[in-house]
Amino acid sequence: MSDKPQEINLSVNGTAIIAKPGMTVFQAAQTAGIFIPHYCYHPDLSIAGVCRMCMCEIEKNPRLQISCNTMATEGMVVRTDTDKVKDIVQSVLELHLINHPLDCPICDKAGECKLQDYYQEYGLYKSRIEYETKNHKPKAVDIGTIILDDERCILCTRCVRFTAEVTKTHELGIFNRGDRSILRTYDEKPLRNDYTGNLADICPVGALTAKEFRFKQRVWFLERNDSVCTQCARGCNVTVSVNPDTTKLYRVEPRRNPDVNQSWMCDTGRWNTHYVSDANRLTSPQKQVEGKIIEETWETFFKVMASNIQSAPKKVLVGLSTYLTTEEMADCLEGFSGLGVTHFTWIVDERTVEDRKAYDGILKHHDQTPNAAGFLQLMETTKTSWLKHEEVIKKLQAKEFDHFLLLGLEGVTMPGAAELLIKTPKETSITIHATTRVALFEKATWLIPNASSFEKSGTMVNALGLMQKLVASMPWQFTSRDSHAVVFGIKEGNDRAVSPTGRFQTVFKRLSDEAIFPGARMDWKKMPASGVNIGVVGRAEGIKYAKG
Amino acid sequence: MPIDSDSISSSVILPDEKKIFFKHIRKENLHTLSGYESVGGYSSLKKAFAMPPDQIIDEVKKSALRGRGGAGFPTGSKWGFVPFDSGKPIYLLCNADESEPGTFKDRVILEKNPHSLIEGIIVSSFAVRCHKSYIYIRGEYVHAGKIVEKAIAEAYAKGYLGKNILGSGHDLEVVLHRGAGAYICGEETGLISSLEGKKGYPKLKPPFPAISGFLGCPTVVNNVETLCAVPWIIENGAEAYTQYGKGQSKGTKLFSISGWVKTPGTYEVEMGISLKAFIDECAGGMKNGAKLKAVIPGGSSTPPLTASEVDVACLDYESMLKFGTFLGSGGVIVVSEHQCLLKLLEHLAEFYWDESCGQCTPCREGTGWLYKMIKKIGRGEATSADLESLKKTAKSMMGTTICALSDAAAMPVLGFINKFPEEFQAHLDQKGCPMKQCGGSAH
Repeated sequence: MSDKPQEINLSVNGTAIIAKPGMTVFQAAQTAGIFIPHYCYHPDLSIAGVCRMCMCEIEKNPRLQISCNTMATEGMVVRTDTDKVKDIVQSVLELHLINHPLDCPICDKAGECKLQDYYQEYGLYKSRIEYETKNHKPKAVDIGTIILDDERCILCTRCVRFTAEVTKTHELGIFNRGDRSILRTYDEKPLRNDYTGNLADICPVGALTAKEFRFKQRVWFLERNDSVCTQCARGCNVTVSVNPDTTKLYRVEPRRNPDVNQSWMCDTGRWNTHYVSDANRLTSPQKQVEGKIIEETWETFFKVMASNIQSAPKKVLVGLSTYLTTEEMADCLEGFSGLGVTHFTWIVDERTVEDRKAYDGILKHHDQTPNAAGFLQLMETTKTSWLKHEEVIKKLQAKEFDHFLLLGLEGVTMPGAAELLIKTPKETSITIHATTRVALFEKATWLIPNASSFEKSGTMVNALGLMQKLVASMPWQFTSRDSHAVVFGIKEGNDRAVSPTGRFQTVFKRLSDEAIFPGARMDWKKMPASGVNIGVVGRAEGIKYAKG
Repeated sequence: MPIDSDSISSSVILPDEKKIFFKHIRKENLHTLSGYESVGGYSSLKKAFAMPPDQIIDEVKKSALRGRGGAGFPTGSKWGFVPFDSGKPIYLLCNADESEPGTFKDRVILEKNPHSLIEGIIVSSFAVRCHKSYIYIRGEYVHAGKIVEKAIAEAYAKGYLGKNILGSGHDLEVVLHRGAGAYICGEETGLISSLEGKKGYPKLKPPFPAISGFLGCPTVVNNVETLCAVPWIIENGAEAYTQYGKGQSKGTKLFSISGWVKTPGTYEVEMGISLKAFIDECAGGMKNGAKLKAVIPGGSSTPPLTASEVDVACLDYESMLKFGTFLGSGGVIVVSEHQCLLKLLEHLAEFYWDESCGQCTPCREGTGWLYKMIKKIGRGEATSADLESLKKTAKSMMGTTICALSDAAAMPVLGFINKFPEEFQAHLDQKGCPMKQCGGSAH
């Protein structure tokens, strides 16, 4: 093996490229920014070689080759811009379209359809097709979370390969042959994996659309923001789409990061977002007295809570949810410590954090919160003492606390919160900072609205030890506030302070400058979208995640 | 239905005693083990087992034997690509999925002389270090399948198959596998997919089957006729084999001739003989004294020859190339003046449209389009622009797919248009079929 070359020199369209051994012509061209049109190729799936769009001309080879299955070799001269290639690409595109419906205005994929895109780029021919002789196939077939339109399907088999190679559930197959081929689930049963949303993402045309999104919004109305998913410790990289006019969240899609989630995310992370705008969302601070809910202002809350804490800070327990950004946690630690608070804990299901290797074999970690690693890192590097739940419960039962603040709860599951709340004696007054009201919160004295992960920015440290950027896609909804604002208000004892948007940047800079995150030392803007490995304390070792 | 023995005529050109495949084909019980042994069957094994396997491969290389399935790839070279030290089992697959329209030569071997195939498999497997071989037989060959199955059982019972064959130390299992009626499963890698229990989709190359084929192991796929030639070559030597034929086309070959001839059937002839003589002498010439219009020389995917080309063409690889066509699988289809070529082309187009596996876009969509366009011309609804469109589409289907089915569908279309433009023009001019044979529905 030692005589294998370390690099391969080739040229594509006259551009000299240095490729790694094992790279295909397609990949080599991609590294040089040369785009080759394709439908069936996907970087995280096996090569099918069936769409025949990625044709290229290779010197000394009379036959055109598909670039996705042709290995780059030393001295290779490749062209994708010759008339011969252009003619074939146009012909193949025309063949893709001959039996395809021409009703883009009513297709939900319009605006992000590769048939549309490529027709503009490589097609623009005069149609030779007589529409009355087109093949017709079943439309709007319900296969579970996804609606399938066989007539729009170009049989690229990306979806078939996804269920075979990524989820290994093998629900999809191509049935019949020739131009009668249709995509179907076996036995006509619905899809049965937790990654079905990816099928709609990887479908290059309008054949597979997600029930959660189809016909809800035209894609050109959406504003896209790169962020991370906060529904488990994996921290899948995502793109969040919001209509800026209505500030309504419409879609969360995976963003490729080979080190974290490849091109995928689970359905839970993708679709478990209704809490952001549903009826149970907390819209203002509320005081609960003997089962009655009294609407309050932030001003009152801050005043009351400031005095509560100042009177006996040692009898206050602050629980930091691992949904909080690292900056929020640091801000809370600093703020409450400054007020004399000495008891801290985390709000997380500790059983799921004991073994952070635990995941479903694809992406989903058992720890359903995004930043337990950030919490541990922060506690370790700032040498803050904190309590595990066993001790917390002992102290709660011993009635050592007058006040128990749970900060930064999000969504409806809130792992770890239930047991603590149940074990809290009635002598301890509970304050819950959460996005959503759930039955469990009846015991609380105060409910204050939390800004969701889509409404704040900061960093999350995933179970792999990568520090990644969470980026706000919309402003704080209703009167909700993030934990920066909550700790700031309590410190000041009033609501006069302006909402500290952007405070996370100050804290981020401090954490970075003080080397609380070893190896971080960077400014927010320059932090790469793929995250930074900060060699987290106690990070899960040897976590293996889905690889192609 | 079994083939009527009388239809298997001896070639007037090649006397029986000089034949390789059909020397004893008329023998009543040739398909049984005793019948086969009585004419010297399995005699090549002793000699083969005494040779180092590489020497067998060399001998086959020297014989210039070319694959008889249609592509004509040198068999010895194919065997030479197999890595014998990969640590994986090596498979020898016999392609008996004979489904190219116009081709029925392997059927005769399977039904009349199955032991010659088994002998061929034993010798070839020894050469390529294979211990498990499959005969993938066309699903429609029910009768042939039964005969081959019986022959395999007889060979096991007599020790020609199984462990330590004839004390040679060579082990070989042979399994008969029936296809389910798909043309594409006769394509080398489609056959492998099908045998693996998958849909008969041809596989992307590279990797080539010799490196990673059946179950990811090194695999050789050979046609029935090819394998049957091997024992003769080993027994008589490569030099004797190259005495037959000429140029790059050595040996004898089976041709199945059908269409407008007096005695259609399968004939063994020496490569390189005149096509005209073959039609006249073997197949008895044209039926009812009709005039010959065209000949499809090598199965339905090969472009046709015109009557004047038939007069000078020879049955060898090189001669066919000169006329822009191929020897293919040796399925000669003779067309007379009473047949409309467009109707014939419509049948072929329908066949390829029906049989396209649907993996690659150009073939999946193109075959359907060709079929629709040809029907449109047949109905007299087409313009010269449609004819150009047909040509353009056919051209874009050439060399742009995983396997050759797309080329196979496009080649006859382009061939017929190039060689018989007047037939197409007549349909356009007369707004219909001059012979009143065409006219399918629009769908």
